[in-house]
Amino acid sequence: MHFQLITLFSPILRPHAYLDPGSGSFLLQLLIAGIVGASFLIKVYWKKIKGLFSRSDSKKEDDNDVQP
Amino acid sequence: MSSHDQRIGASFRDPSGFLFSREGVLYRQVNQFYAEHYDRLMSSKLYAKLVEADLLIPHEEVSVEPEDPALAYKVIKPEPLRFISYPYEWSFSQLQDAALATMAIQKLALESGMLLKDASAYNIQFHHGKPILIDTLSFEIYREGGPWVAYRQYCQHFLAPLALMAHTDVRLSQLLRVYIDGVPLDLAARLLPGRTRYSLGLGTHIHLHARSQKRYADKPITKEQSARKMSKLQFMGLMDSLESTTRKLSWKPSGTEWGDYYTACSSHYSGSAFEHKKQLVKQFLGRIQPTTTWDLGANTGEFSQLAAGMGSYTIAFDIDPAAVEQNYLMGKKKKDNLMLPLVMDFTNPSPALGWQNQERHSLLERAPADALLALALIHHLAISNNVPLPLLAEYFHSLGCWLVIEWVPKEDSQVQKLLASRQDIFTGYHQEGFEAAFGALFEIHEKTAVQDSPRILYLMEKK
Repeated sequence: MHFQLITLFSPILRPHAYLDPGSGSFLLQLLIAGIVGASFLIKVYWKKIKGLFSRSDSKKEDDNDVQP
Repeated sequence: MSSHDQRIGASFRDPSGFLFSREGVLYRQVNQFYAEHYDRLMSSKLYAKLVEADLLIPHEEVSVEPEDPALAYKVIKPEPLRFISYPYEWSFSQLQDAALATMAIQKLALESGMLLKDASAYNIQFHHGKPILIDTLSFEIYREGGPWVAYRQYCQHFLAPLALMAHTDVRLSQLLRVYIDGVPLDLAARLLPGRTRYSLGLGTHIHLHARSQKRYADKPITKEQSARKMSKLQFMGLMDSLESTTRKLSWKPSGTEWGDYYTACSSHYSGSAFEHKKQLVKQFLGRIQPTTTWDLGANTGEFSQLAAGMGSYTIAFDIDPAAVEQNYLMGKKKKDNLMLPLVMDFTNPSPALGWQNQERHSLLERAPADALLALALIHHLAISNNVPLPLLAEYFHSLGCWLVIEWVPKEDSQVQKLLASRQDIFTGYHQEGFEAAFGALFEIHEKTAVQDSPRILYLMEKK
């Protein structure tokens, strides 16, 4: 039961993850993700704003972007 | 189970399923363990989207007896590939396109609430000229909060070798031959120029990553650390950063060993000789009508294109990464889906690698081709590498069924160049010796002198 709780709530111990993410890699990606997350949001909205002022055919490109 | 039925040697790491062959047909068993994820892949339309975008190998579900019935959920039959190649045989742009395909797949997967649970470069193959994911079981359901478990693998399999090729030396792709799970990041960090530490992408994903790995090498993750979550937005930010770091890398060949071989009709070939050689090769290939052709020493693929143009699936091997790069980019531009350029040194061809030497096949294990082209090659192997002609005949005999081979005699200017700085110990290197060595294993069907040249073109068939 204790193990099941860990696998449910711990992002690193997922039952289908057969790769070892590695402690150093795991912690670093959390750090990087924390930093780039905000800039990614700005990038997505900047593209949307740019899209408003550019030709309508660029809408398709924006639509292809992953939505947050 | 007959002796021809077996699990595939490379397919053992992931408990989600495995590949097996039966009566020469390749199948993939999907295990119960993975059922929920497989069903999501198929029902979420992700599979359809990926196949439509030529990013995932198509498959069909079949009612074939599973190889391990106790574990089985389903058996699928993937569309067969014509040739398996490995990242250490790819040029810079081939590896970069494979990396970007992995990122494109990840993006589409996230849109469907899934993600890639691995990012192995060996899961990508070139199919109809494009990089495509061949492991259908690479997806899992995305649960917000989790990190990307394949982050380290992506950096080792793609980002580190690409950065080394772009910033240090293109030949460092060969490190992938030594390190089966990608280039160790501490090694990449040491080999990369110091300035890359200050680039945002490489500075974090390679240099800082290597330091973090070293720092936490023997330390388990604490409960507090493992409970830290990554929001979806942060996750997508990380993917975006990896993708843009990969995309920004570039490599331009700055002069090649062979790149200008065909230009301006170099001294050893007059224009008419070159045209005549092309005409002869075309005529010989027309007689063979090969399904598969291996051009050994293809340079930028001038002659490979003749074979591909006739509908033959052609692998254009060359030792020079710049020639392979040029050939790949040209094929990509022309949407040539019958040609695969690969880096290969025939004095030391790809060996069998990995666990029990069964994970990655040697070149020989991937043979035979219907036809081999060995044009302007024999002197490099026989003289530069001292391979006796009977051994060369034996090797070609194991690689293909038909052989179009160019005899380059000692009086040829290119052979004279090779002999200029060394003693001529090659007493057996003459036309009679060549015909005796190859005639022992091949039937010689045609033999034509190339106009305005001392060279002779032969058409031979394996005895």
